[in-house]
Amino acid sequence: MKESVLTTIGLTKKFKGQTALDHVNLVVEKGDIYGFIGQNGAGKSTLLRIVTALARQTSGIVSLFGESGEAGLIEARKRVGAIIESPTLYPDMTARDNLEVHRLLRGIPGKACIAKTLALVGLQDTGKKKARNFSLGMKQRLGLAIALLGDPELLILDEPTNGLDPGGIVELRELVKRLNREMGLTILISSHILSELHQMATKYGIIHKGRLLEQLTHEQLNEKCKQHLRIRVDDPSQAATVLEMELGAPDYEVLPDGTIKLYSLYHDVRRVSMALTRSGLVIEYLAPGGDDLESYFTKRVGGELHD
Amino acid sequence: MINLLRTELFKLSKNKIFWTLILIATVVFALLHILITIGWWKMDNLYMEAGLELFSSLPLATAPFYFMLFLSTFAGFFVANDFTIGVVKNIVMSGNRRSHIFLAKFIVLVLGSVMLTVACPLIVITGGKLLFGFGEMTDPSALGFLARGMGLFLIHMLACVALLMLIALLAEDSGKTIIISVVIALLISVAEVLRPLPGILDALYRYSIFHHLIDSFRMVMTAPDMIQSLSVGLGTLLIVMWCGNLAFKRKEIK
Repeated sequence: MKESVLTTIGLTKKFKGQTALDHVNLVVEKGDIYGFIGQNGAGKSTLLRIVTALARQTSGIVSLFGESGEAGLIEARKRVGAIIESPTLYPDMTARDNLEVHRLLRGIPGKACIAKTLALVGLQDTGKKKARNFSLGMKQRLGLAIALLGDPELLILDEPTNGLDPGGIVELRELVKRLNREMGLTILISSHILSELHQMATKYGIIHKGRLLEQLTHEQLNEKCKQHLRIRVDDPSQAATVLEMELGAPDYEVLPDGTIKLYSLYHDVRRVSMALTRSGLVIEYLAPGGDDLESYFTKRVGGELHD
Repeated sequence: MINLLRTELFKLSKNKIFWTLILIATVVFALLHILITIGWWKMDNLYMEAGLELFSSLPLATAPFYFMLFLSTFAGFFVANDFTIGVVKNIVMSGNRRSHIFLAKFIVLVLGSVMLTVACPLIVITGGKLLFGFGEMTDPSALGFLARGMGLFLIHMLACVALLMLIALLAEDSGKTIIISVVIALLISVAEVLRPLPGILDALYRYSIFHHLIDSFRMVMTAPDMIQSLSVGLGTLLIVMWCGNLAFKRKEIK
């Protein structure tokens, strides 16, 4: 079993009678790229703000690197880098000076880490340009550099693609994957751009109206979203024989209601249809199926995306 | 804590508003000091009487309205601005105790405030004397009075800075901090002119840091007077610091 980096137990936050988080039990393990999914106002930022000490929970426990006491959490937060909501920078300082502030703050010895981190996010050539004159993408990258300073073990990114152009989004995605792959960084990333998350996350948590509905791995999600042919016939067992013997397709699954999910040949509906018909089976339903993360999420939260 | 202090000092060294205020304070004070020293601006005050003519421009620097204007601008841009631009998030997330963050900020705010209101005038005065021979000191033994006055002034100023920091923390906006502080400074000035104030207001004012701040440089001060002044200054400083620390600890950072 992998080591847990972040765990919340029964985490609850109430604002003036409104429940922003409702007994959230979340687990982020070492090496995960954890995609935290939820619509605006679902409670993603609230949870991340509690984890990073910007807000206090009404009840429940936050455990970081196994530490859940107040003093332990303060120490554990030194191993966390984060951007919450938007990168916050000193506008009148250069990229280098912005990093120097955070180097001093974290007590990192030597200035070599500044050049290294700036190079990592591609800001090594900004010279004396003040942060206020940076483009949104550059600001986002500088924010990321600040979060990465001192080689944190957990990186928390709250909506990091906000305001980025498509090129910037791709760059960020590649950087996140590289940090995870090469440095073994655990990353908790929240977003409502699900297609983006789907391309980098290894684990997902779906939050809706303050409740964590589900946590699942990338493989489990792919399994649930897998492209397939959905077949309903009058005799499922005979259909299974046809699929195996005649079409040579053993990768199917018979659901309790008799519906068959065929995970191959989903591009060849005509061939499957003809084989079933030839065997004298009555086809009640035959159509390709499968979800992407977006449609899976929509289904999971009960189609309440625009309430 | 050392890391936090180093961070705040680095930020102070990069704070344009602070250096602009230092420049303005120095120029304004230097100008006034020259005008007073050459006799163009008549200013009879207790420094003259005490034989410390050299320091006769000092009451300007220690006038509540003058230093509150500078200090509130400084506090607004050094403390409240961290909330306005959101960088306080990074500081809080860095894995430091909020009480340490508060204390480090306060110490550097005090340091900057002392530079603005005490160091600048004293540098101008001593620099003027050493370089150009400006000002006289007919009774150097009266320097003890100056040291006592300056010590009490600094304690009350610390309490004022703590109050400004509390205002900045609650206001989270440099503009609001400056406006609230200037209004307070105006009220103090009015209260000082209108004294005795009616009823309990006079007692409240008499035991406030604002009154004792102005009173710091009183020529004759008995031991009980000094104890009272110290108690008011230190007591207020501790209470306001405690309130500020509590407010910051409980604050939800947006």
